[in-house]
Amino acid sequence: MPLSAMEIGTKHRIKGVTGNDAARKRLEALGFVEGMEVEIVNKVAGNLIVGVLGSRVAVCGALAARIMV
Amino acid sequence: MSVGSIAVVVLLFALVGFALWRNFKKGTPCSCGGSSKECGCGCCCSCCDEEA
Amino acid sequence: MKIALAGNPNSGKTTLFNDLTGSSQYVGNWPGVTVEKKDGVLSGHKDVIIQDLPGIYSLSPYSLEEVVARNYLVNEKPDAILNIVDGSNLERNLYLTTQLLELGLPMIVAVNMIDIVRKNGDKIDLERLSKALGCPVIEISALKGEGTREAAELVLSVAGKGVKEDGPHVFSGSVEHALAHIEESLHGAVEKATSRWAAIKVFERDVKAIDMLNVPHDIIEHVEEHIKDCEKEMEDDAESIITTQRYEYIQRIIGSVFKRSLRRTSATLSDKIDRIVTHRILALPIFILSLCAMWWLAVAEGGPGTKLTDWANDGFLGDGWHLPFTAHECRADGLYKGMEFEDAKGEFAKQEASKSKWEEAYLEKINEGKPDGEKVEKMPEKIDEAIAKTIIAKGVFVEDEETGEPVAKEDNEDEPDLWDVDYAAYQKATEYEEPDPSAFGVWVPGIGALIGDGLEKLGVNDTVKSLVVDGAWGGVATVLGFVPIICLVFLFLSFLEDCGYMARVALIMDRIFRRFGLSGKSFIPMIVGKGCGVPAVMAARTIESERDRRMTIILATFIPCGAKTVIIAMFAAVFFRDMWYVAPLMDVIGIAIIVLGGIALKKSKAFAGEAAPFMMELPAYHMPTWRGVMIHTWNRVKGYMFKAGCIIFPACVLLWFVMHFDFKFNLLEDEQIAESMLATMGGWIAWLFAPLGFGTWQGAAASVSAEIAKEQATATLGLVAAGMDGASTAAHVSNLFASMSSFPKLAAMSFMVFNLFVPPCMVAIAVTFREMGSKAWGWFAVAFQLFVGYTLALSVYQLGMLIAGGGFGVWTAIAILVDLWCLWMIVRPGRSE
Repeated sequence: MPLSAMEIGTKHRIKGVTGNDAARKRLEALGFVEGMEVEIVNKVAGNLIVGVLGSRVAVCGALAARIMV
Repeated sequence: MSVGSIAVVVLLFALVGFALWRNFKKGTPCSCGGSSKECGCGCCCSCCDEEA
Repeated sequence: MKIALAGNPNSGKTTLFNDLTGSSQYVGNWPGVTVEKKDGVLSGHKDVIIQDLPGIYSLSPYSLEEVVARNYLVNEKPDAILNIVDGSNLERNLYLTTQLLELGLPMIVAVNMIDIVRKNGDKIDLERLSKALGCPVIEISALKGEGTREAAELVLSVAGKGVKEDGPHVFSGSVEHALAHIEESLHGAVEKATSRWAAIKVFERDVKAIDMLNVPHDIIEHVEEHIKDCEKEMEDDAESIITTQRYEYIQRIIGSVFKRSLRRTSATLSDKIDRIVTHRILALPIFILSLCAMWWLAVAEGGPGTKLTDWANDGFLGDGWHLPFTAHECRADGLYKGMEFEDAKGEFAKQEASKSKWEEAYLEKINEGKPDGEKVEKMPEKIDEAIAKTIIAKGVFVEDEETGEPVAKEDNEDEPDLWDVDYAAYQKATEYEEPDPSAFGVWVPGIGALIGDGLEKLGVNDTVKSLVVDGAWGGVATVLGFVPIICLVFLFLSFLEDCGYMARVALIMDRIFRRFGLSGKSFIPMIVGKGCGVPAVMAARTIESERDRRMTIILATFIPCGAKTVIIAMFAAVFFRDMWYVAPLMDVIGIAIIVLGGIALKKSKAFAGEAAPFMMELPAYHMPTWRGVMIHTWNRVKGYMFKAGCIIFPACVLLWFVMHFDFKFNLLEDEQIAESMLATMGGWIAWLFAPLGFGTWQGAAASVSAEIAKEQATATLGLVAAGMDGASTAAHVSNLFASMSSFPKLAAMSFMVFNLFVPPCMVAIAVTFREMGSKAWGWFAVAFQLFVGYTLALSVYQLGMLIAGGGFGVWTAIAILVDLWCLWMIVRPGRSE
């Protein structure tokens, strides 16, 4: 399931990030790698605020749809 | 013209000269606290010294 | 010796940099706009240069900051790296650390924010961490200055020395196997110290790094096989394998060095605030509300901004002011006994008005029936009592200093405060003298008054006095008078930036910007642009997509910058005192132009396309330190003071000359100013501004000179309006606009809008051209901005007149047609890709 479909307040373990482009690499640098636990803190009109590695990262909906949990 | 008038005009021109010389030497002052020559980026503002 | 400071954004690098070098660089709480490094000398060590690199998450080649930092570290080879990591966020920060360690440079790790770690009750085992990473580790608190000296000594002790061969064991067996092969093949092609880093980059197929290291092509082909084998085994691409294994390694060592406290409640307050300020309905209103709050503070009638500005204009820079707490009612015997200073001034103005109106009436009476030649112009020494007793001047009123309108009665009636003056009242009025301010408290003379008195004492002639007082000082004082407003605006902005709110605004804006194909990232330059357009245009550099970057450059300067704030402040004070919403409206219009202009541009071929994906770390909210906010504000305000001295001052002296001489270099009297060079030249282009409501040489001169620096518009207005009726600059400007148009408020609004939204000052235009990298794009940006500014001013004036009853003319029709065309450009169907 893509991360974008998850509810606010839930925690998930990442299975992988689809695609193979610069955006994916940057997501990985921010901690969105296989096995990482993430929490959905809030949703703002399709954009997500995700808790990862103890900090909060804003991710747009299109990217969140590529993060599989 | 009185001596006073001449003195005032000379002083004023000296000040204008100084301001122009400073612009020329140190670069144009910028609204964010620096001058254009200080950091070579056009204006010494957040582009160089704001840091997250 | 060179020491590089490297670390994640928001890890406290600049705080440490300031502490070590004794400088006062701005420290923010939002992901950066920094693309360049900053140098400073370590205090106490003249030969040690500390270099502050942009905050980065990794050394990957996907963002400009990272490439800048990486190229610097690899090519310039600093003598040591001081890697600063945020102890309260160790996992994320160590990711970069593992990459830095591979560079083969001497390095220490400083675990920052140790005070927060302790407060949370967490524990970090420094010894184990040091052992795992294979480099010295020290704990510091940059904010409190704890351990920073020791960190500096420690880094100096390792600088220039060799590095242990075996670094941390980050990768798994099969990856290490492949890396060993690559390293072996690279032998001789790259330096030994960087060979591990080079091997990893080759493994990752990082083209930029391979180019930079000049790795021969045949080696790449040779090792490709090993990489492919490894990828097959791990079922992933090489780069992701490296990333994932780094994180796995970090999680392994974190388990043994970091003891998390049980009572830790991480960032919950921050999340709660975020639920409100990024709420899907409330987010935008909260943002606009914060803009209104900022402007209320700065320009609202009766707010702190106007009070301070009045003091700066009339008191500090003008006539003078009473020291706080020393002001009292007049105790000396006389007509003013028992009055406050303001009341006494009002009383004097009233008596003066009574006197002159009565004298007017008296002269009219005694001149009745006399032929023109014999009329008495001045009050005779001796007044004919018999006639005088019959004279009553009716309907006398005091003019308001600011607006020139009759002062309304205090008791809420809309009728002007009119009264009749008979002979007895006139006689009493003649006894009044201007109240002496020193009778009402400790009086501090203003700079303007001091200059005036000084020139008087020197016996300077009137022309020179006009040059100094009206020309040089007048212009500079007009700009300096708005410094309190600038201070308040920047104080508020600095607070919003430092506490972490601005990063959220970028997120909120993302969903709006996405509609026209820009991401929230483009909003960062626009936040910067609230301070100054030049760094705003520069900040667009961090946007990877060329198309998005060009569009951001074109649009970023529509946000009214600090210098434009001066224009807003002047017009808010002179024309819109009772309309508090005008100032924040200018920011909202700026954003609206960006959105609508963006939508229109997006529909052209050059800008069509999807928005780049958006991701950004949101720093935790924290209470900004006073010191930080003050430094930030002061740095920006200082710029204004300098600008007033170095640009506005010479420009005003020049303007005075072209205003007081004609083309034959004859010195002109005040009444002949319309023949001056400035008036002549202004007249040549004034017709351009006629449809906007300020088509006189004064309006043209102010608008054109504003290109030197935007606040010059206010200085020039003050200068060219000096000959108008009225007691203050505000009254002069008010009367100037009254002389331009029968709808002065509309003309003023149009003038303000025009100067806010046409191309920015010369410096910003020059930077736009440079950053665009092509003349054609530079001209396009300027043309677009000119069109927007002119159209907006035209619409404000023409449509405003239509509503206010000014009738329908050719220009009204043109304004409506142009607006309709703009509307079509915005709503027309977009290009399909």
